[in-house]
Amino acid sequence: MRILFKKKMQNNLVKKAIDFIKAEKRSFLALAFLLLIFSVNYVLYAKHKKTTESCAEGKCLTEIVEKPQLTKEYGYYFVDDLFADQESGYYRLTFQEKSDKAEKVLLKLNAYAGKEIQIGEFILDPSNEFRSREVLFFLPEGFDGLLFQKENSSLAGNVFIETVNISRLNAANLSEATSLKKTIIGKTNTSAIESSQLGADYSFLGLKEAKSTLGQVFQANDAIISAVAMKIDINKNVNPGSRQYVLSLREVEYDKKKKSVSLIGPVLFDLSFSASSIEKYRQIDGSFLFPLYGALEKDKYYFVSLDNSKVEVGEQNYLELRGSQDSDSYPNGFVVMKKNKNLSIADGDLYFKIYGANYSLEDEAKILNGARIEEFGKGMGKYSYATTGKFMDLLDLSSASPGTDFSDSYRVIYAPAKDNASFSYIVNTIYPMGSVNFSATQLKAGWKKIKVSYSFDQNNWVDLPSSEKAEIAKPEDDLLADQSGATDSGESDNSNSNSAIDIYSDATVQENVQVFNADIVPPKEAQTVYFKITYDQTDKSKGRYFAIKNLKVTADLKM
Amino acid sequence: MFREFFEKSLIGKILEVVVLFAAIVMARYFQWEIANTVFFVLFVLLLLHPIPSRFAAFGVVFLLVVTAVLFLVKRNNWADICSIWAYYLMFFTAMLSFSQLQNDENGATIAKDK
Repeated sequence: MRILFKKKMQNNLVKKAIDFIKAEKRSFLALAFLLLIFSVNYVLYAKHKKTTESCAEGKCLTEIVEKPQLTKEYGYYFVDDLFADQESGYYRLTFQEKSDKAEKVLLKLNAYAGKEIQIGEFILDPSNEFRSREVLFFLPEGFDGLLFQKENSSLAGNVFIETVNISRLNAANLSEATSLKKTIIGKTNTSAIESSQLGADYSFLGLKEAKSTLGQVFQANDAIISAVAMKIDINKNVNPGSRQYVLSLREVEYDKKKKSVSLIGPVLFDLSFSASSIEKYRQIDGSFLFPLYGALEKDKYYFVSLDNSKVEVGEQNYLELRGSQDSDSYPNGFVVMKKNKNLSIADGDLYFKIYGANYSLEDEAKILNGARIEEFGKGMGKYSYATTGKFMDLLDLSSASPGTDFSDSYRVIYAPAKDNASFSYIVNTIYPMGSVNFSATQLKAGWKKIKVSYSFDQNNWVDLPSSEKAEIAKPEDDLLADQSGATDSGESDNSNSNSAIDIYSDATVQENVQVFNADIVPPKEAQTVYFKITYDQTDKSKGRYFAIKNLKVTADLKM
Repeated sequence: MFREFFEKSLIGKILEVVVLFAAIVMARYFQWEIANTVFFVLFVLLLLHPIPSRFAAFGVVFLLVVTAVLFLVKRNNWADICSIWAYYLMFFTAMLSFSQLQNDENGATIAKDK
């Protein structure tokens, strides 16, 4: 009886529940709809956090890591056709190498027919930095290429070889060749840390607030800053947007008594990236290394900061800067938060490493990065310098007006065409010059025309002539336009959408660009020549920037 | 539309309020903009209390006209947003039409049986 009653009660409850669901089916349908939308959004758009720790050991690296030329699997590296059309005689071979383990490498001349002659061997010590090597050898007839070969191919060392060059020498025999001066190759070292704060156990959340700037004030130890390393945790959903954070460097004035800080002068350098594109600066240890160029004055205070004004930040989309809460962890600086033009000093210090730049010096003269000064014999030599298309090119400038920057897309130095904007080079050849050749090409026809001047005393400047050359501008060129605004078509959002249309058409546009290729006769015994690159102020076109590509300076030397 | 609400049982009313509240909380959680939040809540409201599809269709036509006007006055960003809303509303109009059609068919079957 009791069981029957219980069953009846249960049936009643189930019936009531079913009736309720039937009566409120729209509410339940709406609830199911909400659940579906929530699940989709949660999976696709909810916050994902990438911390320095979760990205350690190269787990988040997006940039292609350079591949070694010699490995355990590939014990041979051929440089084909290096000697094609070269006459028999004495030659100098220069190249750069590094290895992660101790290795012995054999150097051989190689012919397609299969014959080989060993011309040298070298022992490599483990190193993170490339080192220059030089080998003098006699090239007999019938050889085409060069072969680098691991002596013991079972060893696990990875050997990197780059910048392989040969020069024919004016030497009749080996003793004449060996008596020549060693080739000088300029190398700017950017791995030296000038100042740092390495505590990173605390997260600064200032960038969670919209239109905020958070950064670290530091005291300059060196004249040049080449990069800054920071530890940043990224909070973002699947679609964080393409709006960009701006990393900038500015000079500040610090009043120790009042404990106040104020910004001075223009932005010295800035770098823009989104919450996604920041990954290209990721390092193996999970931190970020941002290239940053600025000429600093020793002991002055500078502010390196991240600005989120252009980004839609919120609970799911913001950056956390890591550091230490202990204000004494870096005694010569402090954390500064900027909100609505008000700067306030906060407790603690950000994690940071400021990298300087150490140039190669010869007779106290700075040698540009990658510049070669080599002797051929019989009193002849050659100086050569060419831009590499890397950020390091900026470090070769002797001076630059504010706003001068490096475009990752175009791989050139560019500057805004306003006021007296210019950038210059000092070319030291160490030995007296015979004749100098300067060559370069205007980056794009739509940009402001270029004016290149040279001087041997920095007082008398002479303009270099230029001609025009038709060049095919690929539609992709526009698509590669630098996000920081190196386009001449208004806002970057618009220019990108326009070029996205262009890329689907096969149309190519021929445009006339300026070409510089001039020989300069220097005064007797001159060893230094100055080049100034600016825009043509008579050019009334709408271009907002100017830039040159393929800059090359060569000079015959009297040695 | 709202007469139905007042005719519901207390639990039914509470359930509807909970659904709408959940929609607002969800929009806040995902940080949707105010306009999108309003649109989403309206969408849920229409699920709870459907209106004749012709009203929604009128909304679509209105939004499309506004989109064209915005393009003419070169307010491209607003025109984009407006066209997206028109698209959403069009989707909803289609859903309302299907549901309405089914109701009409059911009504017709019941009438036939009688």
